[in-house]
Amino acid sequence: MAKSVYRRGGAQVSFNMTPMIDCTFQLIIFFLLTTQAASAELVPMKLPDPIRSQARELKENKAIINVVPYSKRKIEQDRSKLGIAKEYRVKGEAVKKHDLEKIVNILKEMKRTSDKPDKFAVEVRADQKIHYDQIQPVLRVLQDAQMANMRITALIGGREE
Amino acid sequence: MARERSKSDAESSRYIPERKKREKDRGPTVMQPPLTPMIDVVFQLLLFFLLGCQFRMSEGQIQARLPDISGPQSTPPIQVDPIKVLLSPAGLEGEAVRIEIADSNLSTNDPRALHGYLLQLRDRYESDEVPVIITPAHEVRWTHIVEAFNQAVRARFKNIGFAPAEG
Repeated sequence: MAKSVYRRGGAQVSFNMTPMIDCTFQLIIFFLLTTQAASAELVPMKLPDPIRSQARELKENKAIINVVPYSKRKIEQDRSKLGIAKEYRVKGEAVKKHDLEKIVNILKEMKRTSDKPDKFAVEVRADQKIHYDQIQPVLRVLQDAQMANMRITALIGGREE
Repeated sequence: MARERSKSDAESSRYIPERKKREKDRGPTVMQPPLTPMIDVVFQLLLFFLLGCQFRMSEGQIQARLPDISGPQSTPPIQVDPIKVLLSPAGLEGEAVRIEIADSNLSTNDPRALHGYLLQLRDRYESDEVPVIITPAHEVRWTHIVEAFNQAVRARFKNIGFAPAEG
């Protein structure tokens, strides 16, 4: 009896890796499909979320003006920064409030080099808490740059009634 | 000599079945590719995505039109008083909003009420060409302005604009 056990050699203990590898591949495929590459044009911020949002995804032929708020930490340190735009961002370039003329030139150039200049649109992308007096200069810039097509960024779907 | 050879042959013939028996006991040889590097890489990828992934809400755009100031006006202005939506901040830090419509008794903080009233006005004017002018105060938050704009678009008005800040 003892002899036959020795004859069989040492028992091999191994994990069954197959289900784990299956799950891992499923997760990787999920992340690969759902991950959106971060874009320098889309500054992370909390966008307006209107009831029954009429927002639709309109991608092509546009410039994006981001109205960037101060960070949460900065606002907690100084409440007067709440609702104030830290900077404006177009094509990854940060522009201060006193220097908005720069945006006019950028927009004019983008419109000039666009395939369809008459359909060229400008997207105003601002944080929920930004005050209107911080957006008004952007609207003035759009008029100065003779941009008739404006788009306002909001979340798609939005809150239900 | 011949006797010795026959003896060794007999011994080897005795050993061969013994070896075969041992091999049989060991079972068939398992062929497996080395999985360790693949699992390493897969886990690296998984960790990268788990740590680097940020879920974002899907965003879209609401179409608006600014007045064209590039040339002479092609269409005559509409001879109707615009619907003026006044927005003023409410709450300690302007987190809420008061919505009023000029020359009416509507005063609310509910965008749904604004939508209902705009629908009534559209039916009364029998036109969606009546301009709707959103007039926020300086410190009204952008979310409330977009909300009012969205409700006007939802009520299918075509000419929706923003006026300079009041107050």
